[in-house]
Amino acid sequence: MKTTQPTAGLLAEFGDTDALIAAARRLHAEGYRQFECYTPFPVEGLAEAMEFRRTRMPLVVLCGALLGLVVGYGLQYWTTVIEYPLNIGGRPLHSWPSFVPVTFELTILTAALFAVLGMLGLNGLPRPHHPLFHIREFSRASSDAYFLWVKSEDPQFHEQTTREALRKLQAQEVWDVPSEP
Amino acid sequence: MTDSSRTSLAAPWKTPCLIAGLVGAAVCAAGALIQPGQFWPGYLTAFVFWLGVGLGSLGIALLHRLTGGRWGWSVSRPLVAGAETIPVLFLLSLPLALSLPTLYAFGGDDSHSSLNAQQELYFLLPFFFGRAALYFVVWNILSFGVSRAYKRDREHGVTGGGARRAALGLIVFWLLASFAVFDWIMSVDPGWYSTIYGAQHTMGFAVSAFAFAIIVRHFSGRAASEPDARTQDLGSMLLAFNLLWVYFAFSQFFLIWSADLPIENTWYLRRSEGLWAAAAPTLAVVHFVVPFALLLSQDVKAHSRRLAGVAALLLAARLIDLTWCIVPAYDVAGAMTAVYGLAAFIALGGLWLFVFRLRWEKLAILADPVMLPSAKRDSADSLEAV
Amino acid sequence: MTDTHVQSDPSTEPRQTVRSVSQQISAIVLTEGPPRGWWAGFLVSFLLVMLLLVSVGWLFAKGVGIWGINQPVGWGFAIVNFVWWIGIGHAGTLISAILLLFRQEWRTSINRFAEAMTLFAVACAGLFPLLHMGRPQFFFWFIPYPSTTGMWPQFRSPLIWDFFAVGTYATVSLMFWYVGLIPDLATLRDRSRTGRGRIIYGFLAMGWRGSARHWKRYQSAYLLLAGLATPLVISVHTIVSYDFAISILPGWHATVFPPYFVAGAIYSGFAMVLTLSIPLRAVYRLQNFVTDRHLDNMAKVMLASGLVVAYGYLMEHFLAWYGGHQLEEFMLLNRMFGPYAWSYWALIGCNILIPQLLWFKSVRARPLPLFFIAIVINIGMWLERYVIVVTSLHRDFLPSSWGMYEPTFWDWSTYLGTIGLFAALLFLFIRLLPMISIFEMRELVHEHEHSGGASAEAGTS
Repeated sequence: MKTTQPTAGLLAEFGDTDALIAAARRLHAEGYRQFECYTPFPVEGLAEAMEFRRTRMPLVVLCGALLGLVVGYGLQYWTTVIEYPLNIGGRPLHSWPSFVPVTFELTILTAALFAVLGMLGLNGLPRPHHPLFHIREFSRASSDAYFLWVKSEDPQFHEQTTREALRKLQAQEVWDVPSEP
Repeated sequence: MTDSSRTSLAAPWKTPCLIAGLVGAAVCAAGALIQPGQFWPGYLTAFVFWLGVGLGSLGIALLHRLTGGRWGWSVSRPLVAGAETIPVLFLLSLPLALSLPTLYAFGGDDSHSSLNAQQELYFLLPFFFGRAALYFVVWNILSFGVSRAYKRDREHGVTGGGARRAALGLIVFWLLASFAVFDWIMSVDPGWYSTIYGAQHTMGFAVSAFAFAIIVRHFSGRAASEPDARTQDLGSMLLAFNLLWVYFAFSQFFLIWSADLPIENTWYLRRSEGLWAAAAPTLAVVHFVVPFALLLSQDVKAHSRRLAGVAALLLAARLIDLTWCIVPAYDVAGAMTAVYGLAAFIALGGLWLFVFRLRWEKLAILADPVMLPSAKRDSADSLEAV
Repeated sequence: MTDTHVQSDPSTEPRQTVRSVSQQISAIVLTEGPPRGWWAGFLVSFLLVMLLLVSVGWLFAKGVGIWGINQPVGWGFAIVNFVWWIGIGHAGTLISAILLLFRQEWRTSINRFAEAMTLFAVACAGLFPLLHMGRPQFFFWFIPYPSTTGMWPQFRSPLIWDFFAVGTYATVSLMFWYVGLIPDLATLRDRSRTGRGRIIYGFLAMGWRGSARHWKRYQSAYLLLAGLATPLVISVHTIVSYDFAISILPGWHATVFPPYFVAGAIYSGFAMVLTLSIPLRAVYRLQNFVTDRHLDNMAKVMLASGLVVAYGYLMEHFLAWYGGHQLEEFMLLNRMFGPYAWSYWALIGCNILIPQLLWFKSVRARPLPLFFIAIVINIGMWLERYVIVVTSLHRDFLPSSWGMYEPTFWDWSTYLGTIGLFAALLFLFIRLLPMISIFEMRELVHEHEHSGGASAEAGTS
């Protein structure tokens, strides 16, 4: 591994989820904030070990639902009562029961769109390039390996001491992460 | 070993219940003698409300025995105790035999105008009473089965089992409950019918029973004061039961409103006259919008005290709904119906709660199922048990 | 609890590991060539797709007159097939969403496949109303947009509700499926040995890396989507039932229609999942993922939803008798003893009587009888829609306007064509994408490894 290149931090592999959770907890306790864990499946307690507890997803979805509700009903009311009033089967122009199905569907639709786009947006996806993709072994992160990346932006980061710390936390191997060109 | 739960359910409420029940019963007796026309609609409403709590408990207990699932264990004691009150509900239904001329078109002599030939047949009095007896006998057998299985589980430390019998029981329960709704509630409007009415009210019974069980659990001291996953499960189930009721109720209204056929829409027209016009919007708020919005929030449904508050609101909504379904059918009903209805509600409620409390205490001496190891994996294999 | 088929592990055989799961499932897509059965099946379904193209082309050239529809039966096969297909789709959403909310882990090995089934069934369903419109080139008039004509869609019409319901359902199902696929696409990207595979799967995976924060938001979004999809799936078939029930036609106007249609949809959907998964697991040797226990559970869900359907029939019949309404009574008698009596009694046999065999454990435990019962239910649910559409319409209020309905060759060819389309899409799906959710399998296997002997111990209770 070349050390002359500017590095984006250190990537460490751990043998199992317990070691990874312990390492994350320890690093957080030592004051590291700019680090991230990578697992092939969601691991219970890992995000909590990094003190990442509540996501904003429910709020995002609630906003989407309310938007769909108001716009959906408003659209029907405006077109049917104001813009294009038409007598259909003698029913009142403002036939609110008839507006329920479409309002309901649009509420769900916008809420679901907000859920998906919100999740992608908050996660910063799609992202075709990433420093970690330059490390060959990282491809196992989507199969059966557990990684931890300490970013060089972290004020606590110091190549030697961080490497030592990771070794002490039973990292099986540690790589330099090349910074993106 | 669970003495704590025995004493923590605010001990001195048995006697007040009994006293309230007896006082209420006296007022009811007076009402039945002086103003039967005003009295009986109120009594029927109160009876159906408490019947719903008992029957709904039986239905949910059967459902939980069939499917398993973590949600059911923390309320299985109040549910089984509720199911065990069916004999007393039978006794409380007996006065209604006197009400037939007032309440039902088939109960009087001049009934022949408003019923068709099939209904004349279906409501022949021996057949009608025979069915009522059959309902209660079968429900009693089912409730006996539920409570025996509950006790066996507690004594031998097994949870679940008997799912096939529970499935059969649930089918029979659901069918009989639907027909009981037709016999006793739908028939208050002679000639009117709706194919979902049985399912709608049976689901309403489930809402009443589950809300009641949540309240009992809260006051029994079993619930944690902090938010917990078990309470949240109960909140989600309450939301699900209630949304099903909303779904049935709205669909019925919507289909009848859209078709606007005179043979159907009279039911709603009658119920939107005068003061009753306020009932449906009120129901939309207290039976749907408010509980729905509250139960979406984890901060409410995972919190035993707040969840019990929502459950109390839903019980009130159930009473409003049943009143709205029953009382407007009677021209003779008036202001005194509210007074008698309240008296009947207190009378039946007091007596029912007294019996419920006795049954509940009996069950308290058994171990809590959540402590058993096999209950832990229940969520993973709830469909496994047949 | 006394049965011997209970395995110690709720969803997989115990010997799987995180690595072997990733290997076995991704290998089906990445390394193994398709088995001979795949080619045969794909060929047959491809030919049927060609038949569909011919039928639709001829329809566009000649108009809906090539079908058997006419007065008084204007709905015919198109609506029967629409309701049948959309109902089939519902099981996928239910398996994915409702079972997820109820924490039923056994869903994990069938949900991906069932979701794909949903998408393709909705695609087939959506074709029929478009073709039935007569002027499909103007389908966009459904969309509310400020047009030069100054007109707006008619929001009091169930056709518009259908458009929004099916459109929302297709969109949300697609998103739910795709979100579920993202981590698996990343696995395929990283395991693919060809540059092309890496680029395509890599593009679709959108740079997924599996960071802990990402997983947290991902899980939250997935649960929320499940929470949204559950009422959605109920609303879609409810709105389909409104198409019928808001009318005043005897046989269509019944307040029990919404829940009974939803139950029927679940019923036929689970039947279709079984119809597909029983041969698939045999061909791809997936018995360790789609275990006998899965089949057993699906059979139970099928039995339960079938009983709700039976309840719907009972309520309709009882209250038609009770109500004593001449038109309602006639409608039912005509169904039972009229010219289409064969379809009514076949429906009762397929939907109510034969499925009662599912009460027996020995039937549920054998894939072959289960497979046949599932097919019978598929047929029964198709017949149910046939009975509802055709027998209600062909003799309505005035005897002078009665008539008969006879499907033509083009009715059948379009129907068979959509079956081919459905099958062809499924064959492509199992060839190109992991048909079992790899990351959820990994999670499950990991949990069971982690809980050590607990699962084995619990299995004996």
